[in-house]
Amino acid sequence: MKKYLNLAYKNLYRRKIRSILTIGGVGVAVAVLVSLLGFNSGYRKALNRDIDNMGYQILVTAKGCPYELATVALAGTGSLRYLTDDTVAKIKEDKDVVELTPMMMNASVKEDGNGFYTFWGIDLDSYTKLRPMVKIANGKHKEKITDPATGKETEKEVDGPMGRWFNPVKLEPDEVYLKNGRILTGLIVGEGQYEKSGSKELDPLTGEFTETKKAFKTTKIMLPSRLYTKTDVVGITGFVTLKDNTQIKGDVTIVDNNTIKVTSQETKQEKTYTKAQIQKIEDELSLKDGSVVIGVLLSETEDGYNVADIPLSYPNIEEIDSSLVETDPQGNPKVVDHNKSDDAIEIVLGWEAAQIAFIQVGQKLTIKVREMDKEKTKEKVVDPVSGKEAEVEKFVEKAVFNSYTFKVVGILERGGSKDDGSYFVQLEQLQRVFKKYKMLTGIGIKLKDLATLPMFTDRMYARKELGETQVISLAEVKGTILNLVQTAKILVMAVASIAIFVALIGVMNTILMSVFERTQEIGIMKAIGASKFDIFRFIWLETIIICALGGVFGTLIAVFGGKGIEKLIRVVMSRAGYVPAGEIISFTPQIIITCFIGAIVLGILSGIWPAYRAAKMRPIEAIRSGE
Amino acid sequence: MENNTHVLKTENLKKVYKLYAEEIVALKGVDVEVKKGEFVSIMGPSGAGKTTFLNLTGCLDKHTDGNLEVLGENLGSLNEGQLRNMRLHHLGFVFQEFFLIKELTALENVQLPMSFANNKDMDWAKHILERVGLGKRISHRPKELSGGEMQRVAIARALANKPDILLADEPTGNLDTKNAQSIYDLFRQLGKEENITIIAATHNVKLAYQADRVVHLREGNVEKDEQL
Repeated sequence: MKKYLNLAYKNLYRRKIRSILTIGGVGVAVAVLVSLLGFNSGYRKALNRDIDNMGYQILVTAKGCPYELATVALAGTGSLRYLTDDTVAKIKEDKDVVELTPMMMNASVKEDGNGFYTFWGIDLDSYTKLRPMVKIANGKHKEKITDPATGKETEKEVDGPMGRWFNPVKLEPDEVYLKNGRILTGLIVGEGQYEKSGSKELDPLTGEFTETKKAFKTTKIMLPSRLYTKTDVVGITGFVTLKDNTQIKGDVTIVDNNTIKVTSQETKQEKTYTKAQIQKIEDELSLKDGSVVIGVLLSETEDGYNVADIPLSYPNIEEIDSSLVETDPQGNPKVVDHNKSDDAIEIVLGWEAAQIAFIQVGQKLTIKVREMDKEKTKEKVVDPVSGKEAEVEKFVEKAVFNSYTFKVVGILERGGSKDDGSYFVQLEQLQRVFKKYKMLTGIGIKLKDLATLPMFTDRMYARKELGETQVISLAEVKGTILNLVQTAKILVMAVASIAIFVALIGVMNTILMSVFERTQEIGIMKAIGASKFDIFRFIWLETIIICALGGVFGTLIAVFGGKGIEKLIRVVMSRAGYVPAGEIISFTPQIIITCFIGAIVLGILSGIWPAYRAAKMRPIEAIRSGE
Repeated sequence: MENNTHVLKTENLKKVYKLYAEEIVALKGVDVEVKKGEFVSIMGPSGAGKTTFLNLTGCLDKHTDGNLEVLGENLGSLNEGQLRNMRLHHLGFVFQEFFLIKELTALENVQLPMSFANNKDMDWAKHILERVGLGKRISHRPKELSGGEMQRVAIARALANKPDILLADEPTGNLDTKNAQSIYDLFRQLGKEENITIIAATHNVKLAYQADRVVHLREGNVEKDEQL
C-alpha cells in the first residue's frame, strides 16, 4: 500500500499545477458545503438564542406582514406601525396574561450614514421582570492608556463603577395627546372630543382641575409641556369661555406678534385679543411655572382636533432663557434645548454599543437623532395668465439631526443577542425623542400557560376595541424565519450540488487525462506483472488523495474564511430582513468530519471510471501507444 | 520442470494483426524450441516478426493460431489472470526504450514488480542492482542515469521476481557499442550463473553471435536456426 501511495503521490506531484487546480476545485466545493452546513446549524442556534433571550413568548404588534413584523421584533428594522399605549391596559385584563411589557423601538440613521442607532423604549419594571437575563454589567471596560515613557497607546481592561438601570422619570406636566399621536403644546381653546392621558383638565367655568375621565364636550384649556415648545399649533374655529364668562368664539387668526383675532362665524364680527389679555388667561392658569404657551389649538371636526401647522406668533418667551430658544427665519421658536446637563436622558447601553462608542458608565453621550421636519421655503412660480413671477410659500419635508445628550448610567452584560448593540431608554423618554407620543411598536406578553396561546390569540382578534393588532407567537416567528431560511438553503444546496458535480467531473477529467498520458507507463506495469487490480488501485488512490487534500483545503477555507463568509451572509441577509446576532456560522466536528468523508466519497466515485479505464488497458497496445 | 526439457516450444505459431479490413501476417508458422538456460539471439530485418515473437512469448499478446507452450503451459488456454501470473513470476521483459518509471528511483523501479508479487525483500532488490553493477546508484532517478545504466536497472527490474525466462527486445538498440557489449556480457553471466533462459532480439550481428544460438527470422518464418 505504501508503494501505491508513494507512486500516486509522485504522479500527482509530477503534474503539480493540474493537481493543485483540481484540489482547489474540490476545495471550493467542500468549502461551500462546510459553510452551508455550518451556516445551517449556526443560524438555527443563533435564532434560538435570540428567541430564548426575548423572555416573552408573544408579541402584539400593529397589523402588518408577519415576516416584516418578525423582522421588526427581532432586529428592529423595516417600516414600523404603531399601537397606542392604552392597548397595554386592555390586554392586561386578559385572564391568561401573567406579565406584559410595552416597548417602543426606533432606529435612527447614524450621522455618517453608517448603520443605525437602535433605541428601545422600555418600561423598566415589567421589562426586567420578563427579561431577568438582561443584566447590568460590572464596570469592567477597556481603556486606552498612554505610556508616559514611550507615548504608546495600549488598551487595558480596568475596573469602573457598577452601572444601574435608569431612574424612572415622571414627566411633568401632564400632556394632552391627539389621536394622531401628536402632542398639544399650546393653549387649547375649543370644543369637541379629545384624547388625553392622565392629564388634569381644567374646567374654565369653575377654574378647578379635575381628573375625571369623562369625555368632555366643552371648552378645554390645556397646559403646554415645558419640553415641547416645538410648534405644533393651530388655527381654529371654536370658542373659549374665560373665567369672567367672556367667550371667544369664531375663526381665530393671528394678527401680529401681540394680537390674535377671532372672527365670528355667524356675524362675521371680529374681535381681537391682545397678548395682555391672553396673558391674563395664562396667569389665571398659573402658567408661571416655566411653561410656555406657544400656540393655540382650536378644532371642531368630528375626529377630534384639527391640528394645523400654522405657527402662532404669540409665544410667551419671556419666561425662558431666550438663548435657549432657537428660532426659525420667521422668528418663531423652533426647538428648545433639552440638553441642559441635568436634563440629560438616562440611557443604558448594550455591551457592543458601549464598546463601539468607547464609553463607560457615567459618561455623556451625544447622539444626533434623525427627524423629519417641515421647512417653509419660498418658490418662484410664473403666473400663466399675467406672466409675472410670484413667490409661493411651501412646506418641504426635510431630514434634520437633532442632538440629544444622554447620560450613560449602565452597560449591559454581553448577551450574544441584538440587545448587545441596542440603546435602552425609558419608554416615555424615547416617545418624546422620536415624537411618538403614547405609541408602542410592540407589547411583549408572557402567558400563564403557553398551551392557551390559540385561545388567547382568538380572544385578542375578537376584541375589536384593540384595533388592528396582530398577535405573534415567537415560536411561529421562528418557524416563519426557518421556513424562509429553508427555502434559501435548498437553493444554496442546489448550487452546492452543482459545485460538487463540477468538482467530480473535474477530478474525473484530471485523472482520466493523466491515465491517458500514462497509457504507456500503465502498459509497462502490466508487462512487468501488475494486475488489473494493482492498476485500478493506484489510479483510484490518486483520485482519493486529490479529494482528501481538497477536503482538507476546503475545510480550512471554510473555517478560516468563515468570518468573511459570515460577513457576506450578513450583508445579503440584512437586505432581506432579519439576521440573528452573534455567530451565524458554527462549525461542529460532525460537520467537518461529514464533509471530509464526503470529499473522500467524491474521490471514490470520480476515481472509479478512470481507474477502470486504466485497468482494462491491454499491455501490448498500451506500450505501443507511446511509439 | 526438468532441467533439460525446453522452456519454450512453438508449433506452427501464427500471428495475424487486423488493421481495419487488412490482415497483416506477422508470424506465418514458427517452430522453435528453447531449452532451459539457453541464450538465444533472434535476428532478422525489420518486420521479420522478432518483436511479435517476443510479445507472444512474454504473454503480452495472444497468438492467432498454432501452439505456444511456455514452461509447460499452453498459453492459448490461459485466461488473463493466468497470463499475468506468468508475466509476474516466470517472465522478465527488457525493452529497447528501457521504460523505467520516471518518478521512481532505481531501487523503487526494481521493487515495483516485487510489490505486485507482494515481495517486500529490500535486500533482494538491492542485491540485484549490485548484481547488474549499480550497487552505488540505487537511489538515482532514471534521468540521473546514463542509457547503459538505465538498461541495467530495467534488467534488474526484469529479474526482480526471479523469472525463468528473460525476454529482451532490442535491449541495446539505444546504447553505444561499449554499453551494448557490457549488457551482453551481463546476459551471458546471468545465463551462466543463474541458469536463466535468455531470448534477445537484436540487429547487431556481433552481439547476436555471442549467444548460444541464433534464430534468424524473415517475413514471419524461421529462415535459419544456428547452434553455435
